[in-house]
Amino acid sequence: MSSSYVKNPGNLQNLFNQIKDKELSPVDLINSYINRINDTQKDIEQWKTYDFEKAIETAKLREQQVIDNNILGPLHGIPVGIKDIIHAEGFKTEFNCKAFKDTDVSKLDSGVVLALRSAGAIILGKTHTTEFAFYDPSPARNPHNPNHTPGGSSSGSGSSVSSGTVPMSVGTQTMASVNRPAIYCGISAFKPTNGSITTYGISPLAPSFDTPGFYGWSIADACYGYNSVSLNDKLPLKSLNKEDVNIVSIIDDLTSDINPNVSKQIEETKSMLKELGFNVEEKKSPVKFNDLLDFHWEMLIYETGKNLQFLLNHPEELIGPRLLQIIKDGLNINIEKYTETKSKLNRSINKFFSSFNKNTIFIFPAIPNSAPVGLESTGEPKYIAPWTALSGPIVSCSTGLDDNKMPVGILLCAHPFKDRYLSNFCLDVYNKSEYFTGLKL
Amino acid sequence: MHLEIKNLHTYYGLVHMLKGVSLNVNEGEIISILGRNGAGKTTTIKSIMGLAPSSEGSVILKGEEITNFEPHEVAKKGISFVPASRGIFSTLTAYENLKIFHLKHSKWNIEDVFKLFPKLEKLKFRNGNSLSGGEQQMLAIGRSLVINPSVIMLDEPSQGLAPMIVEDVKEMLLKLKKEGMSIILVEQNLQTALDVADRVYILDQGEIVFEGKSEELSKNKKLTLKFLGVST
Repeated sequence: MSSSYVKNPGNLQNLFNQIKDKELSPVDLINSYINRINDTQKDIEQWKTYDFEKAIETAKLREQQVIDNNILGPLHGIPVGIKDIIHAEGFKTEFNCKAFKDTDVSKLDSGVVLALRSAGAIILGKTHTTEFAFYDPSPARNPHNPNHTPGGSSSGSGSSVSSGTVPMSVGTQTMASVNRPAIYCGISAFKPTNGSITTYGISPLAPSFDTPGFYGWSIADACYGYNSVSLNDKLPLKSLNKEDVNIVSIIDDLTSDINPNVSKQIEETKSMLKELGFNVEEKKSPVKFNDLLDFHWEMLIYETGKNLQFLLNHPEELIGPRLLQIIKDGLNINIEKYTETKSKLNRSINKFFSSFNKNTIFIFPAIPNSAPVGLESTGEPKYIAPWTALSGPIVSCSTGLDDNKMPVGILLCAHPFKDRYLSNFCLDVYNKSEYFTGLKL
Repeated sequence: MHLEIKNLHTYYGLVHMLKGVSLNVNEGEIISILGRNGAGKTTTIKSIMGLAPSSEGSVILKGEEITNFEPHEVAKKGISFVPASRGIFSTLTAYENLKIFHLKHSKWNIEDVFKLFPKLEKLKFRNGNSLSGGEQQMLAIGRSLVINPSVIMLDEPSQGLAPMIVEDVKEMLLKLKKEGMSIILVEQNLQTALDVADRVYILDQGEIVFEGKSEELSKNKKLTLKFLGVST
């Protein structure tokens, strides 16, 4: 039995089709989510801020546009939540930081918000984030059990979709901040290739890795979100030839602490894929994931120090202790060391991907355990961070619940810039197997 | 009763689109579902067809429960659906459009369709994309026959058609009725519905607010004004 805070907010493609076909009013749709926010916000605190009046006004405009046969794009009339480190015109951006409590509303949209609006989306509000997308937690809770973290840093983006308050949200990932909340909250997310989606108007943490990502209930929804705003992928949306797809389950010492509940999900996923006729093999990683983790962390600290050092000008008590510490640590790393680490990471990326053909889909556990109790920690990012370091697209796929009734799941990954290929694979398995259609409530 | 819909509830996302819709159609009867945009008309036939699965309620065809069957299974059971978009394959000829859907055991073969709609035969070598809106509609209705249905559901067949062509479509529906076909017609055009339907249902915000004979509705100006925004 699922918690009453968990609700499937709907399939994006279906919602769009019904709106386009004049069956579903964007005003009725937005009102249904507003009611849901009113029912759950007090206990889940997914949302930092929202503007219902503006959202209804935009929904009315979208409705008129449908009547006028002026469909703006694949998100026409679809409400979206935005992580509160991403600027959206008309909303404050507070970064969950006390030093920015009295900030003015943003006058401009970030690149990703602009893309969403161009595709017809309605920006419903801002979702909670950890402080500047680092470790100091947000008040957002996990809809599956409000005593557990929803993960971070895009905490509210994950729990807002999982609680059924919005069908799509946007987060950002530097380490595991998109893919981990998705699994902890039992939904799905698509983190595109690093640098392939604009980060204009998004507060930086470590720009080598910072990437916006898209949440939805199922892998089809997460891919739909990505496909709605991606511009640079020429591969058409289509079904794949099973014979051309090479599925590899990566084995690495990093996962020696995996909970049997999670490893069971990997085995089940492999069986399901084999049942669908795919060729699935196990291979040892050609690079050590622990090394990737070290390179990633060192680069992240250095870049965070450089990008957020301006926070040291604010009174210390207004900045979270963990954020403050990492900025100071980062400023102590010299550029030679950083450059050397970056070179090592680049060599590892080349070594890893040159060991597999371009049509490989990688499967890997997303987490060692389900979301931990409490809000102080946002959980364990170490299974996801090496994939972020490898820079390719990553999809979180929630596949079941553990013994504590908390969600667990797996990652589906691909070569850098094979985002559309990964998306096509996800849509293919979504259409062919109930197993890949998201958590059943 | 040929097809019976009982207490159907359907959601799009969190929006409760159908709130307990019940209706029925007898053999050789035309019923029409009327209502404003977003009232739930298309959702009703999509739910019958399994395209918008319902969370509650039942769809019973000739005594057999077929609720939430996959669309192809519903079609096999004998319900065909002509969508508003018509769905004609643009690079296939009219004949090929019929041929690829034709089921061997169907009591309707392609020649029967041409006999019933002689205008369609003259177009049989034309590609789908070179047919007019009315011709495409004719083809879509013809195509719905070759899968051997006992019920045909049409979503706004008069949409975008010239008045003279709408008359042709109405004639086609009445011919099918004579052949014993049960027809569910979703319409926004009140007059088209009243001209061909035996009984009419009005949907408003996902609920049936009127059920009765076409003559009853045509006399009730208050009702048509309130729920359809038009006067008869």
